[in-house]
Amino acid sequence: MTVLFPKWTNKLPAWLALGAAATGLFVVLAVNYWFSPRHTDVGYQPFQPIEYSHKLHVDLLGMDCRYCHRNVETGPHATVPDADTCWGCHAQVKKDSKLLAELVAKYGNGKADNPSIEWTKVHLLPDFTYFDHSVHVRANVGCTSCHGRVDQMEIVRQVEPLSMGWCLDCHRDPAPHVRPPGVPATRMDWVPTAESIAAAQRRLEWQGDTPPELNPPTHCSACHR
Amino acid sequence: MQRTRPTLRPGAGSGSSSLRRLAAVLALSLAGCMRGGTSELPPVHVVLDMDFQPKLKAQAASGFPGWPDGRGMRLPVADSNGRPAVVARGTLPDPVLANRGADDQFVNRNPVPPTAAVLQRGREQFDVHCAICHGYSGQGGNDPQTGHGMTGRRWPVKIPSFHFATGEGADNRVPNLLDGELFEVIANGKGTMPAYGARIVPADRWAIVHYVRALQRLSK
Repeated sequence: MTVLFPKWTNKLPAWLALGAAATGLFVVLAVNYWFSPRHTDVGYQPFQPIEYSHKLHVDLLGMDCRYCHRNVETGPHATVPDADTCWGCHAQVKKDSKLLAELVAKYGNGKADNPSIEWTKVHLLPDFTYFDHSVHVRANVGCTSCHGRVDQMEIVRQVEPLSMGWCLDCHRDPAPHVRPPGVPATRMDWVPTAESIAAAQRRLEWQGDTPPELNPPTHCSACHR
Repeated sequence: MQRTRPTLRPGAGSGSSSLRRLAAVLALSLAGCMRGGTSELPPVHVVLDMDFQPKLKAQAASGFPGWPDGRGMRLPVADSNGRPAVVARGTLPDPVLANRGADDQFVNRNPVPPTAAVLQRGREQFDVHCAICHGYSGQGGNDPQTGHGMTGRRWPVKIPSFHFATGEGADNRVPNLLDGELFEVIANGKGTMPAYGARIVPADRWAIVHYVRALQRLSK
C-alpha cells in the first residue's frame, strides 16, 4: 500500500500555522516600523538652492527666527525670506563671500524684479491639513517643539514625524511644550522644567469659574476643513 | 597591441574580504532601512489620500502661463506708473498711525499710548530686528571690543547710538530725532540700514519708538 501522506506531514499544519503567524507578526511590525512617518518623514533634509546655515546665523550670530520668518506671529505660515532680507545685511556684511556670489548669480541682489529664491520646503503637511503658526506662537509653544534644534543645523532637516497622531499627542498633553510668558518661543535652548509644566497645566485647567486660558482642540475641524 | 590584464586589487575576491564586503553592504542597506538617517528625497507617501492637491499654496510656484515670473503669490496690480493700484485687505495705511502731519512734517508725538503691553511689544520687536546691529541696549558702535551689536563687533559697519552723549563734540543728532523721524528710518532705512517697512507693521514701529525712548531714559 502506498503511503499517500508520509508521517512527517502530520506536523505540517502546525508548521504552516506557525509560519503564517510569524509572517503575520512580521507584516504588522514591518508596517508599524517602516510605514510610520517616524521612518518615512523624519530625516528629510533636502538641498536648498543656496547654502544658508542656520547654525551660523542663529547659534553663532544670535539672530532671532522672526528676523527672516516674519509672518509667524500673525499668519498661518512662517514665511521664508526673499533675497531682499539677505541683502539688508549682506550689502554691508561679507560682501565678497563666495556663497553670496552664488546668491547673486541665481537670484540677483534683492531688486523687485529679481526671481524669488526657490527654497525647498522641508516640513510638509498633507494639503488637507491647515496648520496655523500664529496660534501656536501666541500660546508660546516653542519653535523647537516641532522643528528641533534648527540652530544646530547646517542644513535644516525634519526631526519630528508631523503626523496626526503626533499632533494629537501634544494637543492632549501640551504642558511640556507651553513656555512661560517670559520665555520667547524662538529661544532655542529652553527645556521644560517641573515648574514650567505645572504652570502650563494650570493654564490648561478651569480656575474656579474661569475657563482655561489655553484650550488646544482635538476635534477634526481644528485642522481639517 | 597587447592588452594588459586588469590587476586585481590585493585581496579582492578572497573569501574573508568578500565576506567583509557582504557584511558592509548588509549593514549599509540595513542602516538605510532603519530610522534616524537623513535623506534628500522627499518623504514617501504610503497612502496618498488627498495629500497632494492641485491648488495654490503660500509662497509656492505657479505654472499659470499668464504669470511669467512663476510666483503663485501675486503682487498688487500696478497702475501705468508702476505704483500699486489696489490695496491688499488689511494693508490700507491707518491715518492715525501716520508719521507725518497734515503739513507733511514729521510728528513729534507717538500716536500709540505707551502701555506696558506696547512697551513689551516694542522690546520684542527691537530685540528681533534692531538689536543685531544696535545692540540690546541701543548703544550701537562698531568696535570689536566696545561694540554692542553683533554686526558692529564683527564688521566695520557704522552704527550710531540712540543714547545722548556728553562732552566735547558730542553728536546727539540720532538721539534727538523726532518720533516721526525714527518711524521713518525704521520704515525706509537710512544710510547702511535697510528698510524694515515690509517687515515691521506701523503699530510695531511706534512700539519700537516707545522702547527706544525708554532705553534713552534709562541712560540719562
